[in-house]
Amino acid sequence: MSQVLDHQLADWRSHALKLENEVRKVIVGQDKAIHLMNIAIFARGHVLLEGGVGVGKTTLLQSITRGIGGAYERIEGTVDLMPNDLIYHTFLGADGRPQIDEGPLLRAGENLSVFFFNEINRARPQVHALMLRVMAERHLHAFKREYRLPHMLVFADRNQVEKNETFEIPSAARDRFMMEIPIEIPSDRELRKSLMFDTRYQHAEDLTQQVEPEILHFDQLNDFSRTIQSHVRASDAIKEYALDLWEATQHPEKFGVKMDSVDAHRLIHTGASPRGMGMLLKAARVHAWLKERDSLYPEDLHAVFHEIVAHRLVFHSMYEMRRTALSRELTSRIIDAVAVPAKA
Amino acid sequence: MNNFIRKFIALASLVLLAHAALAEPSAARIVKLVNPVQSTGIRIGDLMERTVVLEAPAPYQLSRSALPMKGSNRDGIELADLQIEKKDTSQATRYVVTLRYQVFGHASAPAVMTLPEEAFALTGGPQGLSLEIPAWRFWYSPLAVADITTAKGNLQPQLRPPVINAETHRTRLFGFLALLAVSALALAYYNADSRWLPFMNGPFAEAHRRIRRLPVKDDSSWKIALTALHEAFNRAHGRNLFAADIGAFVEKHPQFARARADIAAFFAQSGRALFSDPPQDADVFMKEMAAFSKQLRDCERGAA
Repeated sequence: MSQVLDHQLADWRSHALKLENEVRKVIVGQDKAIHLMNIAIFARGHVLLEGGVGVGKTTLLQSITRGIGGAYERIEGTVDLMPNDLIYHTFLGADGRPQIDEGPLLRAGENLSVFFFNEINRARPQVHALMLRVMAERHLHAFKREYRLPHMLVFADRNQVEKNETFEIPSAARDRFMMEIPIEIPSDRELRKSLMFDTRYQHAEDLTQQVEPEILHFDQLNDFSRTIQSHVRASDAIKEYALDLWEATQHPEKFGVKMDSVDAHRLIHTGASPRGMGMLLKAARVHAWLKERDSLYPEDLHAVFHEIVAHRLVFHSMYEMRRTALSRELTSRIIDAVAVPAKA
Repeated sequence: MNNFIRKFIALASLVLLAHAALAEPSAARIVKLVNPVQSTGIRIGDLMERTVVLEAPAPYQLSRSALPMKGSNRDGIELADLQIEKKDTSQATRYVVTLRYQVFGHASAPAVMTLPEEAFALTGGPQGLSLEIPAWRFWYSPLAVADITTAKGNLQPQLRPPVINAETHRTRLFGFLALLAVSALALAYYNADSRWLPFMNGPFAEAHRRIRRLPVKDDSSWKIALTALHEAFNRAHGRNLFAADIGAFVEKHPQFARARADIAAFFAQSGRALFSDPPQDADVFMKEMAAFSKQLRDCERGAA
């Protein structure tokens, strides 16, 4: 049995790493983001994407969807978008009679594997509410029947630049997302040159087609995710460390966390949630599995700590404008300050 | 005929007597005379010794009653002591006579004085014999100059004894003492477990002390040892040190460069022990931790 499990774990690992490699071939300069998204896929967590326009988020998601199989759907957040737009849309048929079709959320049914909500913060809170409920429950009642979306992962992009006609996602809603992954413009000059002058990057659809299709089986990911979670152990020392990390997100000053321009004591309004810490351990286990280990190490937590915790933190309002920079600094300082094993 | 016999006997007797008279005195002799070595600068109270070796042919003996008188004073020279050693042989008797004189004469200016001549009588033979040693002259030096009238005039200024220049030796002494002190400090710095000096309390020295004090048999000791070492790394690094940061740590603290591979091995071992599989043999594990902490302490002190 153990050998079968080991074989299964190794087999899936090689496929997961292959998916990363395939996507890396078409998306340059986003290696870390691709790795984190791979972790989110196996931890079955929804993802917020943070980044400007034109950095390749759509191509990235389409490439990933091609690699894991299943259907890809997308919707644009607009100020007049209503919840029902996700579920159905009406039109006049060829016979001139009104017709109703399933919306992007239901169209693919159980085959939906990736749903991309572009600029989610342009949509109204009612839309958020529906979306967040579907993300949590993975099913929806419509047309007098139950639609199940068991394999759906939501990737949502936030427009962080413009504030007009946007509705900030409340902290309770942000907490539903496992990670917020930055998609940054590559800083390497050679990569930038490739993006500008290499003509193969001009056609996103062609790029996506270069990814080997269905490297993973999207409809088996839930089961295998459970296998990973039960396989990777957490020692007492790592449990204590995770608890200390959690407490440090609430009271950083207790662990001697100091920041350059901010009094850490006054920075935090609310720290990470229990759900957030649960997701941290879930994602860390996937990282440990990808590193061919069956035990959690501190570096597994570190690998996903910022992306899982930062968007959950609620800062005092005076610091909210500097959220991106401060959250990055705070999570780094917490890792630097919280000792493992804990001081005797 | 009788007259001829009488003449012959008389002649023979005369020959024998003449032979005796000529042969016996020439056999008694002074074999050796040893006078004092120093003949100048003799002062009042000085002791002087003469040794004379006499040989008296049998049956002659040195006459004890005719010896120089102990205590006799001649011209200020007193015979303080007289000792005789005697050694008999079949043909003669040999005497070693030691005469010890003490000078009591005085003069206000350097003057020649004399150890007196002495005569030794030999008796027991047909006629008395005598052996003499000649007088021996020496220069007497007065303690004070001749024309002093008061002691004050004769006083000589007290001069400090000339000082030997010991500056070079003193410099060397201080140099060696300083070297000794530095060597002792260096020895203590490199090897001492205790905190004798402030700069000896580095993070790894402290960790090593903690680990050495831990009971090997205690189940929790290995965890405390690992915690102590990780705390030391964190203190030295200024923040938490993890396996991925070893390169940066070594770059920041080049004294640990030689232990880089061992540090990486420690982090792997620590990870296994704390987060995966606790050590099977705690005894061996603790010995490894003690040795590793000592190695790091030596690196910290620049001794590795």
